[in-house]
Amino acid sequence: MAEFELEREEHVMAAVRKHPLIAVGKLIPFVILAYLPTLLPEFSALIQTVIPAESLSNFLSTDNPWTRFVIGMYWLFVWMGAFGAFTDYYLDQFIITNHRIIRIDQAGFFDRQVSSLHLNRVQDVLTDIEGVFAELFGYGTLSVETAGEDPTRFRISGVAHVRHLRDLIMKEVTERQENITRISSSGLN
Amino acid sequence: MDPASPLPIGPAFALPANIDIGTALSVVFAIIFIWWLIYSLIVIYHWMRHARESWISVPAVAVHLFVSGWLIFYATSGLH
Repeated sequence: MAEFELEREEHVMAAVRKHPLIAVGKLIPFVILAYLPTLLPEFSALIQTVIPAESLSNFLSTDNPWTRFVIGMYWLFVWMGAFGAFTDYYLDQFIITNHRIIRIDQAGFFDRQVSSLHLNRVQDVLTDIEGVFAELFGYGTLSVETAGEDPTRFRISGVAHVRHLRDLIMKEVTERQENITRISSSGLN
Repeated sequence: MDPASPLPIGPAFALPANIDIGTALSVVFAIIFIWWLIYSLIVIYHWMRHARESWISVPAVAVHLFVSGWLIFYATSGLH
């Protein structure tokens, strides 16, 4: 992991990304954009019913190298956009160790934000599973509340296995609190 | 249709007489290619820097290069 160094006795308990359906949702506009040029023959036929121009229909045909060039370049840009969206999706990550929660957010090329939150400061973990797909596929928004901090500071939407993550964080937080209590009470005795 | 011939849809799309269509096409293609090249280098850098432990990084880059290459080939096929 290049973004952060694990502390002594720290180990990764879970590393998750947003649910694949989130990636699908991001890619749908690009699929629609890529589909548009395939409607060109129908569009050409429709225009010909209004303006009977043979040359225009020939020009809009994919047999024409000019049209193929324009469509090919258009598809290239659509592909670049789609691949960029997938890269953005894949490089976002949410890592839970036995010491802290780390959020890696790829906000764009050359804009990668890595933030971490020690489990000692966690007060509560909230999950919000909203909608039919979210309920069916088990993804949702995970919010970590901290003492004296903006509760939305650690908020990640569309995260997969959200309930499991909440339980994992709360279990680790409880264990840490029990350890602290045990150590402080043994120190008093 | 000869790609070096003027566009067959009327004077609105015709280039000025002193501009060679072949040269204009080469310049447009070169600009798009350089754009794609810079984009690809940046994307490959990100995948190799931040996701190189993941099994998906190399296939993802390979798919990007293959699809892009195929689209560039498709776009330029027929042009000479």
